[in-house]
Amino acid sequence: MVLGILIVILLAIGVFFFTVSMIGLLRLPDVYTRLHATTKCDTLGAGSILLGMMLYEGIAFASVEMLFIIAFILLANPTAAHAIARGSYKRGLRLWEGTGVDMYKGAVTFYTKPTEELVEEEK
Amino acid sequence: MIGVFLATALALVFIALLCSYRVFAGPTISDRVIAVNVIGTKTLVVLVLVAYIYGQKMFIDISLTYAMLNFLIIIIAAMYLETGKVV
Repeated sequence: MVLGILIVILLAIGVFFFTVSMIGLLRLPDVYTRLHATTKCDTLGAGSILLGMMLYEGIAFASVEMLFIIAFILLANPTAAHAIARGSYKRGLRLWEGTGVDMYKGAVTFYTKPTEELVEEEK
Repeated sequence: MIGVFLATALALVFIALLCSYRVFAGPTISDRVIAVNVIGTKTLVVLVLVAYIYGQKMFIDISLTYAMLNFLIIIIAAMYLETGKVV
């Protein structure tokens, strides 16, 4: 009974963080801020839901497999976010004008012409 | 407990449907790549839930494979963003 309540709470936490990630993806103004919102919330939400399923399964082979999935997500999701951010910065996507700090500035050679043409090309 | 899992899976599918707006309307390629990454993570979790809704543990293996495939897709897309070439 206590275990069931704990599982339901973990699943609710997971759905809440996925919802926050969706709101951040739809509402934030910039590629980098969207990346910031989605990566953290997705990692935490998926980890929480998979932890709840591990508690439901108990000690078994499938539980170990889900532990592997959690470990792989914890490793892979920040790596992918870093690769996307670096790739879009090198492609020339500028930051949002309200952003305060740009520590990458001057350390990077751009691959193509900067943003305005890129956005135009997309349209 | 199956009903709780079913409700969670349906909520995640609905959230993924809302996220797919960014795939269609995102102003740059990077937005689309981010949205695909988010939808991939949600799919992975829904596959684990489906394994317990249908009672077939095979779906957990599929979910593990999907995690690795999703990571590979994102890394290759980031490589295209950075250098302009795929290989």
